[in-house]
Amino acid sequence: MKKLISIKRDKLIKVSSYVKKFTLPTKVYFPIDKSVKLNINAKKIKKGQKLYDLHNASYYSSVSGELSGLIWKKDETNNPTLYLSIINDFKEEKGKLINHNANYYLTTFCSFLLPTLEILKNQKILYFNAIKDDPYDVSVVAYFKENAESLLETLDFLRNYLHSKEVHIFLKENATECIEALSKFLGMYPFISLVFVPDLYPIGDDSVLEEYLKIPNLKTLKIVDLMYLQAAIINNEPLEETYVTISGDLVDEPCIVKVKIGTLAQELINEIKPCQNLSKVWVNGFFKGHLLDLDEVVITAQISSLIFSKEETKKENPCISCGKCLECCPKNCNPIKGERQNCISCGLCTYICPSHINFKERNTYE
Amino acid sequence: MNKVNFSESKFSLKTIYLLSLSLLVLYGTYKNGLVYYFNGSMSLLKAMYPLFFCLSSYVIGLLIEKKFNYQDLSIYSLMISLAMPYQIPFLLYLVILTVSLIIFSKLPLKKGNIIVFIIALFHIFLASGFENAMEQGNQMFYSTIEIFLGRSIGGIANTSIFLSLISLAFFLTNFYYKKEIPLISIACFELLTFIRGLIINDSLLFNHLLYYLPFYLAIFVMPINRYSPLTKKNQIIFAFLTGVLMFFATYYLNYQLGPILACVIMSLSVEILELLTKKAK
Repeated sequence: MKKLISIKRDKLIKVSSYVKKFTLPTKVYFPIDKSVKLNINAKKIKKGQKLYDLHNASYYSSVSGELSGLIWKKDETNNPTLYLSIINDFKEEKGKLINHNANYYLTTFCSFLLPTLEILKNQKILYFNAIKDDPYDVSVVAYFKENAESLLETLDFLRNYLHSKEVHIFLKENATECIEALSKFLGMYPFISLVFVPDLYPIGDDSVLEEYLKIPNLKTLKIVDLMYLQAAIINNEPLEETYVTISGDLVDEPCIVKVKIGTLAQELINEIKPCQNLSKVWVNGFFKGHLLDLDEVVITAQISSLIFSKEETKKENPCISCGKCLECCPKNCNPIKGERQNCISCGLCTYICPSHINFKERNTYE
Repeated sequence: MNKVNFSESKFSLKTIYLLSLSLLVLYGTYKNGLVYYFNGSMSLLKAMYPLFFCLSSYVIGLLIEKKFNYQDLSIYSLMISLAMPYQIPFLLYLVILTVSLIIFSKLPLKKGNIIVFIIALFHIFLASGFENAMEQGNQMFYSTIEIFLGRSIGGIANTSIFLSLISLAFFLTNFYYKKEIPLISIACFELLTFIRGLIINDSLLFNHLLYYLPFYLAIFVMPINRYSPLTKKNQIIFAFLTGVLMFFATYYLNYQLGPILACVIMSLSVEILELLTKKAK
């Protein structure tokens, strides 16, 4: 078992589980490809209406409004992506509802998750990985607080759907607010239990967790998967909103924001005003995330934190051969030589490097 | 529980090196100058010579570091000066130091430790016969404690085991210091010296156990990140071999030059060691 890291939190970066809402963006954006054919006849879009299929996933509008056009932005991994924009008319008009059973909504709204669910089928225990590795990402707390009951209901539904006997939820032992939120309803679900792991980095990754808990071929459901599944199974609609942690040493009032998927991060920040003059943002934290221009970022379900830091990027110095990147890599990679066959993109090598070499952004150092 | 307690140290490794070496320089100035100034056998200007000697070496290192963009060369140069005998001709030393620093920093040796190379060069070709005459006359009068504090004959400012150990304690607080190297190599050297002392019934066992050079090399010179192995496993093998080789070179080759030569050999073998473990993997 490779050593795991105990992360020392920066005292200047405060986090808060106080939840704010921003569900009225003027425009929303959805990633699209030029080859995509829109399944829309009229220019007018209704909330929850299917827009198109892309990479085995279906995209649904989170607002009602009008199609605006195509625009280039960056995704959470800093890659240029084409987005379809929709102007919000704030009417929140929904299409006609036809009553179906939960299985129908699951296969309709979560079609991209069906291969994952197929793998999890007939396993004795269904594992739900609710571990957030990033020390400054607390969005899961808000999600658990607001949706604990329906989350457990979803897991119970999935237990039956996947023919599992039990459900195990993995949580960090210091995630007290999440534990508290789930404990209120856990008594009603005798087949669901909590499994606690220490607050070490990057234990939230399936391959690391597998090694730590000694469970062979561990496959888990992730938080974002469950958000989609819960929206489909319990609310009978596609996922339209997500939770994003706003934090960093530049932020005066840290919080978690419940926001429409597709909202421009710049608009969100202008609305909640956590601090003045923010231009660069760490999307999904310092470890696994990337530093992006705020006006380039579109909130997707994959984005769970926006960190604003004074120290945007540190100056890279030549490698001093301390070997700490090799020592700390949980997958025994050699970042200096660009060996990445088992890389889980945990970002530890970049974080731990005294010369501030950004291994995340480069393939090799030598 | 397998756990690494990572927290960025308050002081960088470079700062700790500078502070620790400064302590040794101050002690060297006291030992080789101020003591004689206080008993009236030396002028104050002459008493400050060790300080001036080390500072000059540091400045030369700094200039070459900037000119040739070789990181931390000033600290390496300071480390070399600490290991020089007191009576080495000053100007000749500076010229040779400058030339050798330029040559070694240009050599395509990835892991060759230029500090031990240059110290070895000086000792082989220049230093014999330049031992501190004042100290040499007194060597039989020093107690074990005095030797531990640094009164033994040796380099201008590297003889204090006490200060070296304080520096080691300071180094151990830094996450990026390769602590296995000094700890294992010193342990190996001391253990073998102790066993040898018991076998041959050595009357100077304590003096041998308190030989300053293995401490200086193992704490300051060998763990330099740039010149030492990358992986922990290789660091442990490297440290063990360094300790063993230093022992044999000290007692069966040359007491003064042995540890330095052992380090030269080990430094040259780092790349081979890494290559072997990579092949084995």
